[in-house]
Amino acid sequence: MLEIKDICKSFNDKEVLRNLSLKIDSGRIFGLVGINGAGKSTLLRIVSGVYEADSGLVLFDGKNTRTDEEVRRDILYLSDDPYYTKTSTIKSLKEYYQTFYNFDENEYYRYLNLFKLDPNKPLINFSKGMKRQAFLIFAFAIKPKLLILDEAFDGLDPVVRTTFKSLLIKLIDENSVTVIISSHNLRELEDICDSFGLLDHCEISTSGDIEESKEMISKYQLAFENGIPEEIYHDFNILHHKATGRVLTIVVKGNKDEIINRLKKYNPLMIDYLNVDFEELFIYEVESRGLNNE
Amino acid sequence: MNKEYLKYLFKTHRNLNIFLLVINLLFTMIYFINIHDVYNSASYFSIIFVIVIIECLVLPIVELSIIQNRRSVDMFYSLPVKHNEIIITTYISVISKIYIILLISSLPVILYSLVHISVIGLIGYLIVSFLLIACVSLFTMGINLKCNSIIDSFVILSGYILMPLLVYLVLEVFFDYNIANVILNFGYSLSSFFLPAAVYKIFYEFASMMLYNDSLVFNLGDYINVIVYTAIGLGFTLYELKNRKPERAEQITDAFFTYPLVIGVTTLCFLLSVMFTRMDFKDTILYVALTFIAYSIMNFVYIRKVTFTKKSVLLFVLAIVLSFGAIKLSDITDGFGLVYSYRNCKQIRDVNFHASIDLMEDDYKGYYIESYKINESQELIDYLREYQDNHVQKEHVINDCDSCTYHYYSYISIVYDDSLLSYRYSMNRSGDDGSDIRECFETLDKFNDIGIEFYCYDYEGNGMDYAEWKEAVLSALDD
Repeated sequence: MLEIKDICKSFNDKEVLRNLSLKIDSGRIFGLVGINGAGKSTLLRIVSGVYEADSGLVLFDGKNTRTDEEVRRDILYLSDDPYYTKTSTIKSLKEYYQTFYNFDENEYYRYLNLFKLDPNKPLINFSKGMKRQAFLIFAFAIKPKLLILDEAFDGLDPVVRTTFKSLLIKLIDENSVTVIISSHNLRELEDICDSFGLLDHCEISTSGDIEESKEMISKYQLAFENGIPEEIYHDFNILHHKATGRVLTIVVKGNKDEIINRLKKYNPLMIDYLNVDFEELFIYEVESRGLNNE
Repeated sequence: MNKEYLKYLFKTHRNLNIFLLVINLLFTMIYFINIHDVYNSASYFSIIFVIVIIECLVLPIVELSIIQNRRSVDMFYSLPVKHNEIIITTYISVISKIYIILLISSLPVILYSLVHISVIGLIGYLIVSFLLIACVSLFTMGINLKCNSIIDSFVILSGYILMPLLVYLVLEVFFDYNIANVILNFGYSLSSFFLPAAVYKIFYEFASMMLYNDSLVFNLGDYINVIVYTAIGLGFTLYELKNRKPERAEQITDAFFTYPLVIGVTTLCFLLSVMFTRMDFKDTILYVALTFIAYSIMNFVYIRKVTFTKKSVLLFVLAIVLSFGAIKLSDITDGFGLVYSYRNCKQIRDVNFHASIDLMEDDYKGYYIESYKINESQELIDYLREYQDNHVQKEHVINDCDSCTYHYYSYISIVYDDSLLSYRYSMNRSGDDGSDIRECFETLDKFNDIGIEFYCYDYEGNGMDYAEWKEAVLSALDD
């Protein structure tokens, strides 16, 4: 299990993370989302032991990831732009990973053939997606207990993305790997993650099971005969609203049945219930936090 | 130290290691090709030590550059290796690699000369070469840990190596041109202020001791130089091992002991040199402007953009004020009290007198006189004290008179055994009537009476004794 306890981090007096706490159970795929500059990469670097938090702790299986370097043998962090030199090849990087991690050569060759990459070709000549694939090969060969992927899907074509997702699920099923993925591609995250955390204004503002969270937010379209009643804006926890004439679209947080019953009291001509996807969930949560902070 | 990381470093830098070994062995091969050249061993070790010094100043920066790039920090700092161990292991890898390559390449030369080699010399060479490699590499690494990019590391490293030379230049200019009429003579060579030269000299001394059984020439200044730089490197390293944060990678290098210090000292040295030469106002303004341009360029390298902030302009103005204040203070205190500090005559190592009299006629004539004598005479000391009180100029006289009949320049210099300074009392005049030259002869006559030996010669190099020389000068003046 990964436990993040009261992490604080600032850069030159600019607060990036504030009393951030999170628990991720083993074998879960956790999606870390947030707007640009929210602090996702910083958090991932702290979890993987690259950065030191100003205060707080990160424990993986009870061990501090910053001070206990042995626990990092079970953690693999792939940043959004992994490091390689002009002469680096997949083969030369393999030497690097083999030196420090438990490396399964059979798995390495299996995925190398699957992705059809030349191990002797300099990485600098690979496309963005191919570079990503190359580093994913190492992730699958190492089979870490905690896999941290920053901008996991960036640069991958749809076919490879699908393959990657299925491989990731297989990795988790077979090895009980915990995965943290950060990505702006929320549609992809929705397919693969079972839990998420929204990093906003230095904190995890919302977290939990994706499906449960989606169920807690719903969109309704209402039409009124005599105009939109003003009280409706105050009676509900509205994350987003849009009025066009006598038609009102609202996104509300709360239990669906309860909300519908309460909406009926306003005698709308019609109530349409619409599903919300993960991307919309993200947008509405961030927007509402922005409005609240104003 | 981390063994896994050390193993990784040797594997990953395999090609570089082989390249360095090949370069070194190339010179070993050249040695054996020129085996009968009597200066062969000297030349060989000269070149090898230069290569070693370059390696010590470059490799720690190159191999530890992973802490200065964000992407490589993400990769290496997430490894199951303590962050400090990455740094320490890299250092050990660098010094062992340089030392092993030096041994491998110099071993054939040593074996060939085995018959003549002194055992003590060999042991000394082996130990000292390792220590020098360790010290210089530690200094380089300390500087590198302070900086946030490779370019900054090399710039700051160069700054630290050159700063003592700049300070030496300022002192030379101060004593030469300014108020105390005292010249700088530390008794140590300039190499004592230039790290690569000091290291080279120590290397070479021990190699000579080993090969030729020469006795060791101990130049304290060189060793002090190496010790000081090692202390700097050690201090920086220990501090950064505790405090360096990985998020500093690729940030502007703005720690005080980096650009701020180097730019500040360099600018102040330039300005002090300008002020101490006491040029006229126009020339001073020109050189101050040139210094400001140099200052701006240094700031550009520091911040990576052309910008003039209030702070940078104010700092420059402050440097001007400080340098101007330094001269005024020196004027008030008679060269910070340096002028009137005679020592016991028993401590005199050398006294010499020099004069050059250039008669500016259609056919130019010049007369030169010099003396070199060790003299412990109390009579001389008393005379010099009186001479100083009556004749020493406190201000420099510019010798640029075009219409003058002659230019006359003289100095008396006294060197003491244990002093860092020698005292030079100089006069620099231009004139028409020859009165000051005639006055000079009073001094020269007195020296002659005390027994100081003179060497006199004219513009054609013709030597003559003192009496003849005096007559020739006076006759030319009268003409």
